[in-house]
Amino acid sequence: MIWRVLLLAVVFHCAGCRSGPENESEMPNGSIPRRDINLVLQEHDDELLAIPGVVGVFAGLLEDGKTQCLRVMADRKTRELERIIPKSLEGYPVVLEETGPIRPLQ
Amino acid sequence: MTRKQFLRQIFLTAVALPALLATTSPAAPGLSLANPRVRDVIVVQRTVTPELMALDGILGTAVGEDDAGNVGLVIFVNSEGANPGEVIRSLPASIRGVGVSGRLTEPFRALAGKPGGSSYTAKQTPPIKLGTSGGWGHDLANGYCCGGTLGSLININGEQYILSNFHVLESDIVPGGNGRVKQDGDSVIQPGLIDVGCNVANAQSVATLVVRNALPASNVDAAIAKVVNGMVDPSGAILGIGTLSAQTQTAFLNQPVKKSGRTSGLTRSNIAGLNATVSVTYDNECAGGTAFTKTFTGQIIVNNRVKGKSFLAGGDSGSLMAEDVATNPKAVGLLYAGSSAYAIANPIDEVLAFFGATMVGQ
Repeated sequence: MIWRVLLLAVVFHCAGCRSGPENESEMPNGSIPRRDINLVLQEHDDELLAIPGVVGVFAGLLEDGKTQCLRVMADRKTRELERIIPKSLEGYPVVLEETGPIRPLQ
Repeated sequence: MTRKQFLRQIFLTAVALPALLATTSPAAPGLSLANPRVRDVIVVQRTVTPELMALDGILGTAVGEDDAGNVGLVIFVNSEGANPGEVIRSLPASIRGVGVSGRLTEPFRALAGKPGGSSYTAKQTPPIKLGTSGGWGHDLANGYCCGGTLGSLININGEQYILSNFHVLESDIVPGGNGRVKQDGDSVIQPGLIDVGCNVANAQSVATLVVRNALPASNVDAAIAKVVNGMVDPSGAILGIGTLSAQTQTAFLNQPVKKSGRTSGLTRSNIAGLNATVSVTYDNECAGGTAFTKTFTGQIIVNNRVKGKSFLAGGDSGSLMAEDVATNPKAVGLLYAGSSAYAIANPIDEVLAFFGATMVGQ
């Protein structure tokens, strides 16, 4: 499991590097070509969901209500998850959220 | 709140209902008063509960099982409190040798069973409107009964069907605690068993189940039941919403939406995310064991906290999510799951495609 987590961390780090700096705010607006966020999500959702504690991932918006981002839903937000989850993927900010588990609501 | 938690708070909350524990007849063997371990936990519970209840954010205690099936003390933490996560984390692992587990829940509210109750849980005079309490007529097992929401009306080859969730109408897949599994032709009732004291005689049959086994194979948590003539309003009207459009709409970010459901009634929110991949674990019957964990793709994410209240709560599964317009709104999604932060919906077009259906509407 540790090796798998480390491998994922490397993969995400490299994926984040492909489009430039990891910190979204460092990028001049519109200066870096991006793939559609849904394609980025589609490419990475399986790996993200495989990380223990992650219960979901989706395409959403930052708090400004307009900047596209990837949101990672976690049962509990731990330091380990904060370390493993990349800060950005292909130029899109990645936001880690503690949502609790997702349950059927009957 | 899961149905198991929800029902345990009804059946096992010894703080609020000690008399019920003392008079419960056939309870689940592992959790009955005859179980010495249960008695041990109750002794500790009675000692510590007054102190616990004096703390901010603690709503109650109960005898229950942890995720591993061990009998212990369950402490209900107010999910609408100031810092529920911190309260959960601050709970001790055990008290006087009894294991402790915290459960987030909305503040307890009175449920059905009294005249003049919520229109969303009350037995209606047929033809009924949807967005109401309902479920599988045999959804009683392991000492508990279950239910959800009969959400909307759809049309398949000229016939009308109630649309709800797989886990509301079809989730019983093992003989288990009630000696039966869901079958074609089983009654689908209004209100659900959870709102009629688990006594099916107090409900009415409004449709018959058509088993489609949507889960675990497909990407929709959906199930249908064929309407019994005269029992459901053929316009497809939903409580608090009215009739729908026959057209559907694809969700978009920040889109205002609304739903009517058994527990929280008519609520409004907005779309927070699209194309979600989420993992959801299902039981194999009412208060049963784990059946499977399903990973859904392409899901709709909805903000579940609006002005301090939940958009979707336990019992609301099966609700139809529609655009928030006044007249004949278009269907957007089928709600089925959630967390304290978000509600989850299947895109309605994928649900309709699974059944070869269209919405009943104007």
